[in-house]
Amino acid sequence: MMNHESRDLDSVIDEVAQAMTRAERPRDLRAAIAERLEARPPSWLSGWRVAAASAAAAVVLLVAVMMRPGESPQPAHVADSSSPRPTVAPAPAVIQARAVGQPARRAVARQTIAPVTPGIVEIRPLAVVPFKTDDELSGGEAPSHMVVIAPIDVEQVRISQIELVE
Amino acid sequence: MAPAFSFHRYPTVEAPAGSTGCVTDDELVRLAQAGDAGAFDQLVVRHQAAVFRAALAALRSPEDAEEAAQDALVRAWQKLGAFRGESTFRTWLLSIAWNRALSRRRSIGAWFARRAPIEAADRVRGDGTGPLDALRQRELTRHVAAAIAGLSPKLRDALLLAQAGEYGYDEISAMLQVPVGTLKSRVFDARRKVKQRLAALGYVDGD
Repeated sequence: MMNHESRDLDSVIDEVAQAMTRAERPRDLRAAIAERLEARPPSWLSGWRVAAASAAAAVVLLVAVMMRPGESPQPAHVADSSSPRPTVAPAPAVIQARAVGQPARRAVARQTIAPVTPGIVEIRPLAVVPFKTDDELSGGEAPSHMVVIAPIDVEQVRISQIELVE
Repeated sequence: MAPAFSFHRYPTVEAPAGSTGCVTDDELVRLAQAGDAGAFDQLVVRHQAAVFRAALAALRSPEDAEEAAQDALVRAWQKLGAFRGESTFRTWLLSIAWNRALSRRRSIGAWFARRAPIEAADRVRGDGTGPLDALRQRELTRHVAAAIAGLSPKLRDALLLAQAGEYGYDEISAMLQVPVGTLKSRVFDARRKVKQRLAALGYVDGD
């Protein structure tokens, strides 16, 4: 029976385990790797180069198409900054005011669009209706361009008319 | 068609020999990813020994380890475009090396299991206190080597990589794809089992 202290066994285990991964310094692997790679360039590198070449070809083609004489596309019309800006036309007064409290169907305003002229499409800005309080409105007749919202009509219901449904 | 590979076809920036020590792996990787084979050459010089030892820990044959190391470095060059820097280049490379070595080990199969680890044991130096002690020491190291070789692959790989003195636990953890805690546990279990086998052979603690 051989007695070895545990510490000794640990050190022997360490030494042996280290020896099992130790060898003479390997020869320089670069030559062997270069030899093996000589025939097989990395796929990602060739792909990258193909992509770069394709992109360059696409740019050249695009430039060639754009530079062809007589076929330049009609440029989009841009308003001349020196020309006067279109004036804000007042919104058509198609919204009819009605007296407060009178039930009436609300008229729906519809804005007609002028026929489209070739070239410039001019969109009229919306008119802003000034806000007025109820006091201001009760002082006189509402102006024609004001919108007055009537209160909601509440129909009176008698309780005796209600039938109990089970 | 992409040009054939050559370490000297795409030279890096002219610099005196030995001055690349200040260039980080990250910088070399970026150059290599742009097609600079000279930068990859520097990475190989830096890490080929670590790659070889990792392969040797898995295969225990210098010839097989060199083949696996070459496989790993070729693979690394081919996959370098996919390296995104989530880990260090060294860890990434060691993981490739370990996987290549394991693949080779699986292909070797039963033949590997029969290999005697005597050569490794013979490389352990004895105390040299006397002929008898040297003989006992040699016998002990052979038994230890045999006990390590008889461990399960999980325990043996953990022990050999941990004792190689080349890698940190984080690197081994990445190679084996296990958490560091699991790795330490495996190393501890490996030691315990080796001691059990030695105890069965009569090597007992002296206390």
